[in-house]
Amino acid sequence: MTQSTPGLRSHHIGVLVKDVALASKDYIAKLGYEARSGVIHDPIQTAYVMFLALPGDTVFLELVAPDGPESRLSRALKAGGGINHICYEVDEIEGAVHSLRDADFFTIQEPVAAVAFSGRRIAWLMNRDHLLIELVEKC
Amino acid sequence: MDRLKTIFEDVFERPDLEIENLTRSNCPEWDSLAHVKLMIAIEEEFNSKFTIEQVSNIKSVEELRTILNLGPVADPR
Repeated sequence: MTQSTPGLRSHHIGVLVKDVALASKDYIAKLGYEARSGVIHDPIQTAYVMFLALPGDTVFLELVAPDGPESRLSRALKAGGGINHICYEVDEIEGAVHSLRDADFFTIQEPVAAVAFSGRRIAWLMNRDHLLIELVEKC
Repeated sequence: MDRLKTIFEDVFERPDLEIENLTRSNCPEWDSLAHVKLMIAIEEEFNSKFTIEQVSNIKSVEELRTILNLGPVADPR
């Protein structure tokens, strides 16, 4: 039996930081990144996010920070922060979630609209190696 | 040794956690991410496989013990 693949395209790497605005200054000044968005608040994800990219690069870096002590990201930040997830763009998000479930991923969040992507839907999944991935549907 | 208790303690990073009456609604740390980590750890420890419906529907330690055919922990007193 041939298993369908989810059709993933790398979109961004999520890095968990304490303060998005503060961290972005370091990435810009020390690593040569350019800001590709302002700081965006997503109340559903309980997070502040900001997108950066290296000149000419097609894969973004997403800085993510908890939006308060009750944020679901606060525990992860207490554990040290750093690289948090990989995000892939997909053409059809329900089909990709289904395909990844067949590939032994667990669904953390079913597709839901995200402020950081102008209402495009995102979903969250994790595999047995605790690889956390985000899917974002193509605009 | 209660293997289920050990898994909860490891995932929540809380040694000596009392789990018998734990539910997703009375434990703020039992969020969707922690839930998946619990399911992964439990499947590995008990060599079992949850259905998608079970993963979605499990809301308490009591339900987990039922699914895993684990009796209640004996009262040590």
